[in-house]
Amino acid sequence: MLTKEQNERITQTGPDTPMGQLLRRYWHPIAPSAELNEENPTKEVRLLSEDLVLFRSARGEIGLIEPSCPHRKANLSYGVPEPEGIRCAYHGWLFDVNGNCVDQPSEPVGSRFKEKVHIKAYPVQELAGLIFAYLGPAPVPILPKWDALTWDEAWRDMYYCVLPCNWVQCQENSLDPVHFEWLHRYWGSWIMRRTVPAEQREVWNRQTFPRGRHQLKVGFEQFKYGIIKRRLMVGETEDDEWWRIGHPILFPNTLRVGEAHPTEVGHLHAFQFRVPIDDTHTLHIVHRNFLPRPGNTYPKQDMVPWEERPTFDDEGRPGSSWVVGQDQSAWITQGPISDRSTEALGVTDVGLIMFRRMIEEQIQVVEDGGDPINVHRVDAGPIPLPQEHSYWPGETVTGGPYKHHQVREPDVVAILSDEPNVTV
Amino acid sequence: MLSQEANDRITRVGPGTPMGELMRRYWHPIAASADLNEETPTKEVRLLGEDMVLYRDAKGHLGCIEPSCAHRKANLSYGIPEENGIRCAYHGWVFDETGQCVDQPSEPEGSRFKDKVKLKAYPVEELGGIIFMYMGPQPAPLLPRWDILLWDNVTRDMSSVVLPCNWLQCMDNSLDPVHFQWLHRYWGTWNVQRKKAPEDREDFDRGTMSRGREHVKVGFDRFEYGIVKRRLLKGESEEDQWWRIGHPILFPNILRVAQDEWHSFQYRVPIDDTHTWHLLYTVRLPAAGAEAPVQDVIPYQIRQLYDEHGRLNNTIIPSQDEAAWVMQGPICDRTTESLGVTDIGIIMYRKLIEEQLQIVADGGEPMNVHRDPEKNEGMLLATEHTYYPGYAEMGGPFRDRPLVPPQVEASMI
Repeated sequence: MLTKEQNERITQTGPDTPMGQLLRRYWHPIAPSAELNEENPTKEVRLLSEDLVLFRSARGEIGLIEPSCPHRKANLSYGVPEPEGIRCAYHGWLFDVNGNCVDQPSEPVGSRFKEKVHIKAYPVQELAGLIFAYLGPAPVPILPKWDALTWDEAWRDMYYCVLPCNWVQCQENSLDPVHFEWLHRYWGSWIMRRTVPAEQREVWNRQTFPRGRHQLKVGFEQFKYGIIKRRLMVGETEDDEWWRIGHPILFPNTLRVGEAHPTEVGHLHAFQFRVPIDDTHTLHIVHRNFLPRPGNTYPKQDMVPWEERPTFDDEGRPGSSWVVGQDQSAWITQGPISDRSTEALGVTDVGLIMFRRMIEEQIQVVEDGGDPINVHRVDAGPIPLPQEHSYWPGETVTGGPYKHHQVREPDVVAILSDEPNVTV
Repeated sequence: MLSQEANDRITRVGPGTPMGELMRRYWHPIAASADLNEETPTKEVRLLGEDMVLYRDAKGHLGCIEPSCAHRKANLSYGIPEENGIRCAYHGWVFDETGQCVDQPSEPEGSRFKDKVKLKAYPVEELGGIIFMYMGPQPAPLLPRWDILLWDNVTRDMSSVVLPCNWLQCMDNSLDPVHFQWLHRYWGTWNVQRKKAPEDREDFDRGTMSRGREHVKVGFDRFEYGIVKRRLLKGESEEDQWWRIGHPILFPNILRVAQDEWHSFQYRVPIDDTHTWHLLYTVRLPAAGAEAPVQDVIPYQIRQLYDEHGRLNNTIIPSQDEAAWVMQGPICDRTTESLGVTDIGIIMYRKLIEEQLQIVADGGEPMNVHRDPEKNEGMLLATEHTYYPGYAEMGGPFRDRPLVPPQVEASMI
């Protein structure tokens, strides 16, 4: 349970809030690269409670600028992309990706008025088909190149949903392995049995069976980039990768997760980015990287395909006929900002208590003028991340760079059953 | 750039506000005559922040009264038109066009209760296919009888759209000729070329190739009814009608614009602080010597502001203007704008507003309020490169107007 003040402190996203300041130390994905094209060269976006316009110039450069032209305040998302930047629809003022006004075509020749006109602009970078933005103070940190985002042999796609809730409740879900047993395997199965014919449930069964089993204990360890979560499920030993390796929650708002089961498509290494639009809205990007099965290759991708998936179904209920849809349903039903002043945490919630402490600690680091965890200043190339029961490029066994990882006692652990042989 | 207080002062139009009081000195369109008929005898309207119900009674008389029945507050837009007014759906009280309750059928015989019951009512008048309302102090001025509202042997049509923005940013646009070169010719063409087949672009190209050419200078003059704007386009001399005659902005919220055989008014009617009813009223002259067909009803169309993707429509000239106004926000934030030399007309207009606000605050009558019936009849407005009834040459009665320099001007080169 948190006080109302504590809850506000960790859920606020605006520029003048402690958490908003912490979130501004990180690069955030804001759109698929392919969403900006010749037909739709601009997009109105909102990130960390700031309204902005994203555009791709005729030269292919991407800009992220404040939405209103400083002349007479017309919205630049209607602008015309040109080689040097974006030209306002109303009177043709032209802004480059740095927010400089570089043309005022109807001001008198020789006028230097434009040199005094600037708008807010933020740095952006593209990686693995995503456009990332940084809204924080200079110097700008390195955009982290997580391993799977750099693999040449991977085939990628993504979808996103806009959720009417705060990002922290999405992230808390990732620190709570037990929800899988209930939200997905139990409630999800109940939903699926009623809405999807038996012959179409194969993917569902494959995804929910392994980690939807009864959990005997869950453990969490802090590591360089966030928290690794581990689970011991019925019928397994502590040598199993579910317990020995686990998978990471990247501070502050990203989950790395696989499918823990090779499919005919390939081996999945996915990222779920919970991007704070504002205090009560989250852009949830599910970005998937598939490695080909040994001996196969994928065709080269010119662009990473994407779709915006409806958050709600035809009846106006949160879409819940797939695993992530069920997660999103849970987050949305917790309300725009989950009321943590009346919650009742149990032993299954030790992971999210650890996460909240980490947030508090990192807010303090920023307030003290330091660099918080998972801010990168040196480009050391691709950064390997643990992910249990998954294949890595060139590897024929699972575990990749972590395959020899020695099990260690987690920093916090919760025993959920004293009957190791319990069956369900 | 304005302070927040100055921006509020010139944009907000509710009762009791300075601009609201100034706006209440003028007649404003509230509906097309075609809006009210036997099938739909009432219309809920909102003007200057006040909700009203407009109705046409069984005798054909118009009334505009406050929306809630004085009895138990049912909305009178559901009422039945009768010989002497509108009858409330709930218990049958009847109100006439002065707002007076004239029947309470279930009160005891001989009761004089109804004499004490009166609703707010404003005068309405119909002219040229438009219904106008006046909400200001009595005595009401004359409804201005502008030339094109009276002309016969013409073809009229109307269209409108409700905009989610303040009225003043629509007017700023009319005091800013240079936007034509950019919003219409440059941006508009970019959109039209992407969305329309070449064979469907003729009207658009004709509209933008005239006044969308490169501007050399713009000029503005105050006159009796508002401001005249003028432009000198590249390749033309100052003798050209674009510069010598121009066309007018009627204070406080009407644009008169014309081209070739058509004349139009664009009324930017303030619904409230953040909504504007944009009414386009067009009058077309028949070819020389021809008779325009008789119109029983003036065609009236509601235009769509947004396309199927929720983006502002932008393939015709009026839609491009409306898109610009809406993309400035519900009330344009003039505290952070950066006006350039192209904006001198806007500055002149803002000064004019401030001056007229002061006149009303001092108890006087602002400009463009009409009380002389003789002078009010068929007031002619000058527009460049346009035909007038009875004249063979463009510019009509104004074609020989001498060249005089504008009161203010700005050069673009």
